[in-house]
Amino acid sequence: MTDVAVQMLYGDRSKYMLLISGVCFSTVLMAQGLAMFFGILSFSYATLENARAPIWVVDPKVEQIADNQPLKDTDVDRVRSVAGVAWAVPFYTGQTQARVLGSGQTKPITLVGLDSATLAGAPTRVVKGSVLDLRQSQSVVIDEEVAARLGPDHEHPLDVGDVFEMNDQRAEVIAIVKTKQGQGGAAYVFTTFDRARHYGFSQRKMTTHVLAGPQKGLTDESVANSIMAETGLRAYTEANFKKASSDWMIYNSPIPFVVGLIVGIGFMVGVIVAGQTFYNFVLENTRYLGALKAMGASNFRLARMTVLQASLVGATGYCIGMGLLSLFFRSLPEGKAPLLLRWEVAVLVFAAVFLIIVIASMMGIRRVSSIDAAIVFRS
Amino acid sequence: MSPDIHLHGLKKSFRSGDVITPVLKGIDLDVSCGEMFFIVGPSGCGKTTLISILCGTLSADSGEVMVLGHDLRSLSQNRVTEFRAQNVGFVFQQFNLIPTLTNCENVAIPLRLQGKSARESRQAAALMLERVGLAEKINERPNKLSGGQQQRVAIARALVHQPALIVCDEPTSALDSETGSQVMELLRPQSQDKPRTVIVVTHDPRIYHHADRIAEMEDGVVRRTLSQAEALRTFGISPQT
Repeated sequence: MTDVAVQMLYGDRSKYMLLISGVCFSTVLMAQGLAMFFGILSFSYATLENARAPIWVVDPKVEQIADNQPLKDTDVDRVRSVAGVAWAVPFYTGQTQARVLGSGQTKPITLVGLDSATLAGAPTRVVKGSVLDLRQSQSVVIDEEVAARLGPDHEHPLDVGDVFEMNDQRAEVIAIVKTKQGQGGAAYVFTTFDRARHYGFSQRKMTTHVLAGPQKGLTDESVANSIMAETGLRAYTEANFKKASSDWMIYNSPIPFVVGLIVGIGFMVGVIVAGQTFYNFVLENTRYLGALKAMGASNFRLARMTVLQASLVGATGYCIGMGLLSLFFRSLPEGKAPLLLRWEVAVLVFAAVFLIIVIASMMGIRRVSSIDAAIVFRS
Repeated sequence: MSPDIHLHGLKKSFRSGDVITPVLKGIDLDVSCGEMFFIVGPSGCGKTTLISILCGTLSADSGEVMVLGHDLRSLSQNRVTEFRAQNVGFVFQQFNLIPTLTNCENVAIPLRLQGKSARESRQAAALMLERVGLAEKINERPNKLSGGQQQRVAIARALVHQPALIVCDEPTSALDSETGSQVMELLRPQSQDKPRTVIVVTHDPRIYHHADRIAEMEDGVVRRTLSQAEALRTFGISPQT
């Protein structure tokens, strides 16, 4: 009887479209809410994705990447001395202002200082120029966002060879890179650690992080533990630092509440629209379901047909919703919007749609079970 | 030989709040195998309740309900459902054809309920539609057909699984007399068919001459049971009508 159930569903196109559009709308609402959640979370650890290192050593009080507690210069050597550490270099990240040449206007940027000898943590997605040229005097690497912000106008972003100012110091663009956007629309300027002292706001201790790598054969985790044990500093593996940064965002911002509200509304829309429409679909078919019951269809068989119909509606609505959202996200400029369609989004929304379908099915089954087969003899 | 249907002391009441309304007040009835048996009477006399009970869609409060050798009152709900799927064909007043299925798919439903494959069921359904004169309408949907044609599809659906009992509820009320007569002819078993008992509830005196016997109900009881000849005489109907 599965073919009969499918035909009953597909046979009335307008009702079918109404049914799947309810699930589809609900899927889009929930998925975009969750994608926004993961997108904003990913902004919280953008620096970790723009400057890659296996181990990040920070002040013991630091709980997330954006918290820049300065370290002593000697801390780099202390980390290097820990058994199992293959290399360790100073790293600086902080906020400063860049001045657009000619206009005197300033724009906020995130300044990153890399170890000049190794350039450890340098960005890898180079659009133009060479990052290795950072060793030239007054040179900086900028990301596309900085290029756009500091250009004379939107049509003319900064290019390799162009010049701008930070802290009254001249900076020449030697490469343009792609980066992941950070919180507050942060745009990145990379330079050497020593030069960052001049470009950034003057402070006594410049090292905000020590980047380190484990010796061959050792895990990041074990070496990070050794660093913590021997130096008293906090050492995160890259994955742990990402998680700590995300967790900090979850517990210290209103984002989970806002996203929870969006997802909750999406779920309620799904239950109300899809559930109610499906219930109406069953209601409108009461007479035919009654006829099937009279002809010998058991409640169990009719319930199976109802579940199949609800599942088809759920699966189709979910696939269309996720497909449309995916196409919409693809049409957006890369990295600009805080939207991340991760597999977790697909799984969580699927689970929610499944729940909606269970509720809709139960409403339908309840109705089907209560149909009196003798209804067919009443005019 | 025991009758196909044996009802004795059958009673049924409906409750609405505190009010109990007796609808069947002690029905005694025997219908033999192969009979075309009509139940007639005014609206509200209990005809529909009676056929609902004898096909198992409604349970009696008391009395004996023996149908095709099964004591329906002693069977579980699941067994009664199974009994209907195996033994009963239905022709409803409002046809109850599923509008989103083709005529062939509608006719195939009883076979699907018996567990036959979709292909086998459709083949048998197509043959049955041919037999009722709708070979060219097999793949159309019911809403494209006239009332008479829809009722013929419904009859094909009732006959396709060759049930021993066919229950018809006002099968000709929506049809003109010629179409109604054709519909009744379709219900009468042909020589190649298995014997079947046909119970027809009707208000329509134009088809009384198709009956072998007629039970006249009034106020929840069978007032009298008449042979065809007696019925035609009593109701003043010509056999040729």
